[in-house]
Amino acid sequence: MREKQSFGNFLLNNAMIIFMIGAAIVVGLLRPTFFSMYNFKNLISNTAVRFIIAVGVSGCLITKGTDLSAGRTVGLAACIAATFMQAADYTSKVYPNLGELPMLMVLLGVIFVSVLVGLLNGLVIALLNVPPFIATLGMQTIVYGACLVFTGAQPIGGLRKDYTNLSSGSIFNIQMLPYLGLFALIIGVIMWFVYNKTPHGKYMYAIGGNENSAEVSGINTVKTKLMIYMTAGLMYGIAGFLLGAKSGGASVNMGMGYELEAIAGCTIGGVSTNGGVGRISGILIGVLVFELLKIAMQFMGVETSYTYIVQGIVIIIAVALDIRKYVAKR
Amino acid sequence: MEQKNENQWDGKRPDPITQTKEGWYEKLLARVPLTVKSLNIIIAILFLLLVAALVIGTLKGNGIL
Repeated sequence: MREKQSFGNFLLNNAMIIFMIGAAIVVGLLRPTFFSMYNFKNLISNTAVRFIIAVGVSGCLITKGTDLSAGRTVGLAACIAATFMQAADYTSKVYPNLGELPMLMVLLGVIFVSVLVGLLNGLVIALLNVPPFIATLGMQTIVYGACLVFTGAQPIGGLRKDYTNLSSGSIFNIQMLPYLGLFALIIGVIMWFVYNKTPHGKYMYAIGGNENSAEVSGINTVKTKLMIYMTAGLMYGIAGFLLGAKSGGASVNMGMGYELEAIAGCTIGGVSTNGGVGRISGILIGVLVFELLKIAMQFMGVETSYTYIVQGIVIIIAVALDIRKYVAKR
Repeated sequence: MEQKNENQWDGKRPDPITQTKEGWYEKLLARVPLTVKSLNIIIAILFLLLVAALVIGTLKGNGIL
């Protein structure tokens, strides 16, 4: 009886994942090209960038916070990266007299800007005690404005080949192993180590579990939160840099709504919005499954407006299932 | 025998400490508590909405509806 109940709970707790995998299988049976190698590579490339963003957001969620500026920061990072990675012979260069800069230098510059955004978020949230929802919503608008000022609302194109190769290339020329997947894997492993094997990771879960207890136990909650939002910024910087390469250009609208996708991926993957719970492997599954659903909807020819409704309902169900877990534990 | 404290708030008259009266929201919460069962029903409804949106979207997208 107990086993039956726990199996039922397992099914309910993972209902979203089971539903989406089921939907993907149905689509695969109806449209055989869904399981093609090209589509698989597409799925990995799309998942890779979103996974990196979701890992950044997960730290905030684990400490009962959130980061609504994620998408816009990714967009700003992509615009900065694209601006400085334009080909020398491109006629409409943003800075015509600027020579070709080393890729690593541009990456570090992009990371610096996005970490700065994260630091500002962290300062406002940890020091001024502004609710994360409000603080990051404000930052979202600030970053969008900054991006408009920086780009002049003009799309940026003509990117260098070595830069775009970061996304189009694959390991040993095997289609199934794109570089983007490798980058996401490396980041996933590093962040797994940070979350599970370092004091910072332990502090993060402790703050999410009970912030007052964590503070009384001697944990520097302000410093830990600052680190979390700065790490999130670092993730957005890397994701933006890769997104620019993947898209072959950038514009101010890039990254719009990515924060919600990231939060959805996290919640589907078991990161609790009540704080204190979340695993890197879960986030990967959550993001992968969410992306699978989006591609499945494209294959089935679901009207675009309805895809937004579906994605919205998926996010609400994921959060409702999370609350259900919390209530069941009480 | 336990004596009733006169200052104890009964939920009807204004709370002596906060001077607030229980509103419709508190009454609704008391009637439909946040339990696993009520959440199961809400989640089931949401799943139905999800399937409906997927089906209608597919039919509309393929020009059937």
